[in-house]
Amino acid sequence: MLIKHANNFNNKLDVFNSIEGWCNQEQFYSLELVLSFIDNIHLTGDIIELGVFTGKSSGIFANYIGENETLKLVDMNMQYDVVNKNINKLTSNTPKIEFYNDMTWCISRFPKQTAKFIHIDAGHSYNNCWNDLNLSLPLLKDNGIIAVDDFFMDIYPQVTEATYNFVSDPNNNLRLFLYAGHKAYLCKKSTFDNVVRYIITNYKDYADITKQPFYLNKSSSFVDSKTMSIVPIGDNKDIKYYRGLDEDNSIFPSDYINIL
Amino acid sequence: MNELDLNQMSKSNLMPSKIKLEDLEKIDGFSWPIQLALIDLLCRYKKPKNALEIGTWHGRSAVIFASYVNDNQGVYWGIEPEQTRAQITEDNCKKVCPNGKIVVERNISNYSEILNNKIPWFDIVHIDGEHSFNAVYHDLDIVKTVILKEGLIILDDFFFDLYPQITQAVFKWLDDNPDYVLLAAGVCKGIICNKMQYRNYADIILNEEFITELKKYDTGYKNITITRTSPLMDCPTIGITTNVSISNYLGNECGDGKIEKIC
Repeated sequence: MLIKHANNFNNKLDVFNSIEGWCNQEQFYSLELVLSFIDNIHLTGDIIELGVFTGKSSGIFANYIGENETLKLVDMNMQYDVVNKNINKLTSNTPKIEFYNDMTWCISRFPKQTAKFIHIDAGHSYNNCWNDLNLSLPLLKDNGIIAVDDFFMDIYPQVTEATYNFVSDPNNNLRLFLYAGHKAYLCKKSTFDNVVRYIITNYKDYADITKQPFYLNKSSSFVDSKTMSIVPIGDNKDIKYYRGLDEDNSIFPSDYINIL
Repeated sequence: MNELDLNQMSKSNLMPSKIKLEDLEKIDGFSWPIQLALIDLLCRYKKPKNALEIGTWHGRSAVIFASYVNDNQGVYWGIEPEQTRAQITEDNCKKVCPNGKIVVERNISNYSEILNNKIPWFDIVHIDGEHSFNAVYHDLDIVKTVILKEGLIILDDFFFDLYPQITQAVFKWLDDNPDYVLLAAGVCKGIICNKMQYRNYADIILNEEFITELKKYDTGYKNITITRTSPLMDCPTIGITTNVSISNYLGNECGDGKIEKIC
């Protein structure tokens, strides 16, 4: 499954980069990695995208819509032609797609626990983001993943605040397991060990196949914080694949996998 | 400093900068020019008497704080557990203010002497110590006991991909300490103040003078923008961003595009 996603990244990267939209190469990279986990555990279900814009990320998602699954796109200013065109550029798949030219609250009508992946990039106020998370959570299947866009963005501090406040509510039973390219990836607590172990174990292969200049980072222990991050290598040319504690880089990844 | 004093942090009261970025960059460290410029500008408005820094490295930001506290016969108090780095910080500070009161404690924040007497006396605090969730949360707890009500807390490596746990700790701490608010976030710095002082500080940052002065520093960024992209009642935090717009301000995306001010 990992190879399928890594190859899709490699094969579609040029087309992806030629499409107008906010989703960038680093985000494409992390999306494929996270989606490969969902494929790896054979989780089936819909993919829901809140905030579609030009459909650049919808085109990525369209590759992973199988039989009896639906890509549900929600945007209050849906650009049907542009979105369809871009989806067709990024997939040879002919998935079932439902368009909702509507506010995001329309997803409250969607059946519960049917989504394997939900991407939130709609209204960027604190309330919008919190409400979208609140509406999305009941739709998420047990091993599913929610991605929140524009996380750690100076221009939208309220998105980060809303996400942390939502995740820290124990009633929501969520963990923020990965930050990458201004996206926060959330899973249910019961999925945490599996998804983290999968990402740590497969990261080296994924980076090798895609040849991308990013490493997997965990700069404090999992006891301290549950969040890993994917970071551009930049000037840190000596870092290969993984970066651990500031004081003892060697502890990551093997010791962390043992802890998990 | 009372509210009246804070209101005096206005254009006529902004003191000239005491530092040269190119000199600071000669000191080993991680702070970018835009971060040093932001700290310097805050000090120019705040005119701190006493400044605390948890984690000094070689003293890039320490030199800024030391330069300003010296004017008021105040103290720069650094906490740095690593002996060599602490000594270098002290030496660098003394170069710019040879007669200033500089204390660089060779310690970790948990055992700092500042905790012996929990009287608030710091005007400005910079937290850049241990980068774990627990350490940052604990440092904020420590700072809460020693910072004046009108004080500013600046956090390093905020919204930073290498240390996501820092941002997580800050939001958790703010959730547990509702008297405080995240005033601003940007250039990997988070700035916290007491809620009662929010309006005063927000007025300063949203004043045309602030962005004009910030742009005067040679930070390598032509485009610096002050943002508040959602309504004030949705989230009060102001963004300080680089390279997102040629405008000085970006306001509510769902409104008229202007930054909402407190009436």
